Amino acid sequence: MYTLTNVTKTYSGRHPVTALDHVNLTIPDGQLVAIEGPTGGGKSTLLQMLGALDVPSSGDVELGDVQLARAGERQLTKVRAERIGIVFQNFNLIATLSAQENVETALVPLHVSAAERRERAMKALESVNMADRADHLPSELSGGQQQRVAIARALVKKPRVLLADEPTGNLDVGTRDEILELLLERWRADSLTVVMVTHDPRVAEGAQRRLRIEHGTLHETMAAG
Amino acid sequence: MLMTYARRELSRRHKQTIVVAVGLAIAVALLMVVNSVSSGVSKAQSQVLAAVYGVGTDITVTQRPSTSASAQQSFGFGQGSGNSDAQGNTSVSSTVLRASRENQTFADSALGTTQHVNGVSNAVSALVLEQTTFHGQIGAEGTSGASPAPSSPATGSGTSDKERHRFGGGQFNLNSTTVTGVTPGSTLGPLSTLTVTSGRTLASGDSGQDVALVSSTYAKTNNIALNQTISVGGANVKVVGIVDSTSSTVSDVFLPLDTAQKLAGLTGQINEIYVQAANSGQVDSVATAIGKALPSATVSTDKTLAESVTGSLSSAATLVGSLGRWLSYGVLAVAFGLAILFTVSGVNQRTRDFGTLKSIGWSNPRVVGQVAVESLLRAAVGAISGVVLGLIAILVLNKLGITLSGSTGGFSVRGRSRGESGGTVPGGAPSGGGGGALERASTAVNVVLHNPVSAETIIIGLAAALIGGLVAGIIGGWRAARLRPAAALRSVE
Ligand SMILES: Nc1ncnc2c1ncn2[C@@H]1O[C@H](COP(=O)(O)OP(=O)(O)O)[C@@H](O)[C@H]1O
Ligand SMILES: [Mg+2]
Repeated sequence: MYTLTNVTKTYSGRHPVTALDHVNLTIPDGQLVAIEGPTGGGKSTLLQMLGALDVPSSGDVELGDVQLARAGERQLTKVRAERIGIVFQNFNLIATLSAQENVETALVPLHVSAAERRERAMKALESVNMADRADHLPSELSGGQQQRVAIARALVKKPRVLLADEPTGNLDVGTRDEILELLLERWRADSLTVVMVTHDPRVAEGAQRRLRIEHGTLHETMAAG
Repeated sequence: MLMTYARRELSRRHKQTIVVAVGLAIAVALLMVVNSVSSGVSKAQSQVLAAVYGVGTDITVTQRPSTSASAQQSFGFGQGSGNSDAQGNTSVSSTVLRASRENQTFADSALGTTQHVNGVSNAVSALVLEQTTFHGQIGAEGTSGASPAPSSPATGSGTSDKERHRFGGGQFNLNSTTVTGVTPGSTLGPLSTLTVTSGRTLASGDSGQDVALVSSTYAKTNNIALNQTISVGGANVKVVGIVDSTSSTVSDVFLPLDTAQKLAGLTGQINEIYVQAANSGQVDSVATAIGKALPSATVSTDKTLAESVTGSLSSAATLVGSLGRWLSYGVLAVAFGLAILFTVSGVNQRTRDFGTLKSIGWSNPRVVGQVAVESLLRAAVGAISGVVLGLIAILVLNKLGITLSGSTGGFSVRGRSRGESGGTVPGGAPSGGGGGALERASTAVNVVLHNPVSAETIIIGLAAALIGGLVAGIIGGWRAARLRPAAALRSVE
């Protein structure tokens, strides 16, 4: 469960920007949340707080028993490695590694043996129907296939939380529905907490709960039913 | 995973790998060649020095002539009384044996003093003499018109009109022979440079005996055979050995030291001491100590002797020492720069990759380690190719069989070049300061340059490349460590 209290994030610089402005939010375990809003509204910044990728300027972010806002770099690294899976708009696969090796990178910080790493990566690829492309490089895969590999990489560590920043933003409509279907399937199967940033109302419609963030301010547009 | 990832990055981004590896390889090879050639050249230098001064000599002790002594140019033919013939010409035959004018003689107690200096393991003394033999006819005063060689210009620029006038019209031979008094049985100094071609060398039992060694060239020129008797300083000495030297020029005649002293009338006098230090690392301090013990002496170490080597050998030494070294440092700096530049720009290009890895749980040390390992691997490829390239270059240089010639100056034992040994000067005076000119001719020794490949050479090359890789890795890693994991979320790169 996530609990965000008065989370404010200000980017200093020549033009200081308040990307999140006193955000209060609670996400229970197992919920599927969609976050919508205009570009520059603060969606990615919020996801960074949830993903332990960055800490707020003020306020608290709690994930279970961990105070992310006050955690040190080592603890944040550990949370990222063990508890959170993350999927990106641009897939973010390592271009020089095969699909299977890309999935294995998520297991590297967990000190899993090489053999177990390979086995678990293959299983994860099977769960996204990509086992037959295990040896392919990202450049040899279509966008949808790359995102499948990225989802396998996010889930291979068996995280409690899956974060996705516009996971279908770079896909055509047909592929979009496929990936969306896959995410929903994994959410149901693994009882994950899923937070998905999207521009696309069709994608948001599949969520239990819809939030909208604009100028750093959060609005609940559809509470969990 | 780390190695798999590193290998993939290196092979799939091969352009960057090749540029960095080639840069480092060239630097490594150059560094190796310079290192090898400089030890080859210094080996050649010590070969030249060994040829001239004898193996094992670390320090020499001499005494520079005082200005008044060197100014004294008189031949001093005192005892040569001539017989006048019918035309009034006088036949003169005269022999003078005296100390070489290059260095002053000093009391042989200096040898004992030297031997007692701390760190001296062996010291022997020598007395270098010069025997000048004059045969000729001198016309009667005022009859210069009868000169058999009137066309001969009077070349005696250094002689006074009066001398020229007196000598004009005469005909004479002037022969100069180098005679060195050596310690019989010594393993250091002039005797150690000799190899016996026939007969034997001087053993300790020869002390005080009228025995001599002659150089093979001198024996040939003067038709001297083994066991023959030759005249040195008016005395008859028996030739017990004919010798060659590792040096291209040697003294003509070698006598036991005390015999030489007796014949030259220089009892208790020497003009050279050859010193071997107990520890080759202490040569400088031993030389300083000898200088303190013998304040008026000139103490030279093999290093200062090496500096006295001239000719193509010294040009090579200078070339390697300055140009080669700076060139290799320059190329190394460029190679380091390239390695750092490519590693840092590689990290910048991989901002998203490293951000992504951090966002899925890779720690900073792991990312830094990844960058460092990749950089080291790239350097290792460069190092290995560089060592191979360097070895090939050294092999080629050695195969070329470059001959370097080295000459030394400033030490009288070197004698003179063979061709100038004495000679007939028709119809005129010896040119001014003649004897001195003969002595100043130097020894030239040819050495084929052989550049050794030592473990040190290879280690220097490998270490240079790996240090380059490490430095680049640390700088690149530091860049990577500063990347925020959130960089993974930036859609625009
Ligand atoms: N690292 C950063 N430095 C400065 N400003 C930033 C940074 N990241 C985001 N911002 C600013 O914060 C605001 C919110 O950005 P972001 O969370 O990426 O929006 P969204 O994902 O909704 O498009 C924007 O105005 C953006 O320019
Ligand atoms: Mg965004």
